[in-house]
Amino acid sequence: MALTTAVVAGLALFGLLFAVVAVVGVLRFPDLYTRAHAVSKSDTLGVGLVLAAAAVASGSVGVTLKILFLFAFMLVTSPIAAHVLARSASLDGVEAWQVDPEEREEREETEDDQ
Amino acid sequence: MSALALELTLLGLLVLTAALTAVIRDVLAATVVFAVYSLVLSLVWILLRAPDVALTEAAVGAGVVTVLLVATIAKTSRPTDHAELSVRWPSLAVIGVFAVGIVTTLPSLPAIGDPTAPIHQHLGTYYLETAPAETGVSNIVTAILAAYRAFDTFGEVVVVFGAGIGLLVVLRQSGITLQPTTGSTPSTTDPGLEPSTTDPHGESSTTDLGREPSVITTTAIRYIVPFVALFGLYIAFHGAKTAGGGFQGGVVVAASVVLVAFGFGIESTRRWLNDTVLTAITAGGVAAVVAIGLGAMALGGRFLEYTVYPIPKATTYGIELVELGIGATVTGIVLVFFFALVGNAETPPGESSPTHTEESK
Repeated sequence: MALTTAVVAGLALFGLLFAVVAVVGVLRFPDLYTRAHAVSKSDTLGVGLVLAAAAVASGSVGVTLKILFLFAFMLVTSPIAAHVLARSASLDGVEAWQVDPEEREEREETEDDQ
Repeated sequence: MSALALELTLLGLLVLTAALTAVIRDVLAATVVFAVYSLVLSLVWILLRAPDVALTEAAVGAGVVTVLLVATIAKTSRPTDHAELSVRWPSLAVIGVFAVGIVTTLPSLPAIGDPTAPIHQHLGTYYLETAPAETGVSNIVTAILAAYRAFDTFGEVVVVFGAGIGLLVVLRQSGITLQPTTGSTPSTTDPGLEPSTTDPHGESSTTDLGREPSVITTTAIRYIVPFVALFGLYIAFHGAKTAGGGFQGGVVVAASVVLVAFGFGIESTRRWLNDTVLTAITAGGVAAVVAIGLGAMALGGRFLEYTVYPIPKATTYGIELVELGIGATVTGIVLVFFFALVGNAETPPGESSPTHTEESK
């Protein structure tokens, strides 16, 4: 009983960590493409781990099977949603973020100085 | 303790998202926040042991309504200016009085799930004890919805149907027709990005945003849509045993068609579906419910009195058929809404941005 609780808590917390990483990515990354990248990667894993926690917590084969289907659905849809987002942005002419060339030179100079 | 923490968190999120929806001036952001509100609300329904309502909330509130609102914004305009939020004090006073009234009345309500509450003393007990045996349907919500309260549900379907007709009339009044317009140019893309490929049928294989469908998207949709549609039918049919029913299932089936439309092009999906088929599904659902009801009357019973039909388990089959009719009408209406709002219809000149005038208050 206690072991199950620990496993469930561990999986859920680990999943939550990836969800937090995704949120941080959305807030901190500079443009749509990098943000979509952050969300699709870490959130898929985060949701997967939380679903795994739910499967362990249920302790039933039927529920676990349903959760497996859910996870398969997530694995297919989440990257494709990111693909659709990035593709429409690209076709709409949203430019990818780049380091300003002058700024890069300046940064490299200051790094050389140090 | 932890249940209380969960409840408080969800309720806090609910209040926060509701307030944000009202306060945010960018309509697109407000729509997204509203979808989150709906999702949180569906979780609250599950906490309150109302999975049927939770399903409806998730499918309609967070799903279809969001798609329709985003589509409407894409069709009209996205006012983000008018950043200043003006407060009308008389309105706020009325809301304040109302809120005080509700908050002071709340403590006198019985606790959730209290077996001694008045609503659980009379009819509720009767339903719980006799509904499964009397109707042959183990989901009592469905039994009440489609058997004991079938006439109310019939009214609901007619309301949904009427709302669809109302929307079409309004859109037609403002010059937006249901007929697909030919030769209209996609307006939202850069001229340089317009693809030149055509499909074997000689029609442009672009979606309505003037883009080639992405191979990744179309392939995925090809595989996903059958499952989504099947799941919708499962919800509609299995509503007799588990949470769900015609309303929820109908919305999910419609969502699968919306998915096809987004992947393969809205106008080509509409041509494939055909307005006549759509109208037949929508009206056919209502007509099926009416036919079942009138058939019972013809056999000497009352409207929708399933037991007069001379077949075994008449009530169970009656409920399933009525649910199917509901599902058909809901699917049809959601698609009619979708195609009417998103389809390749053009806004007439002079009425290009109706949302601006509303927003300027």
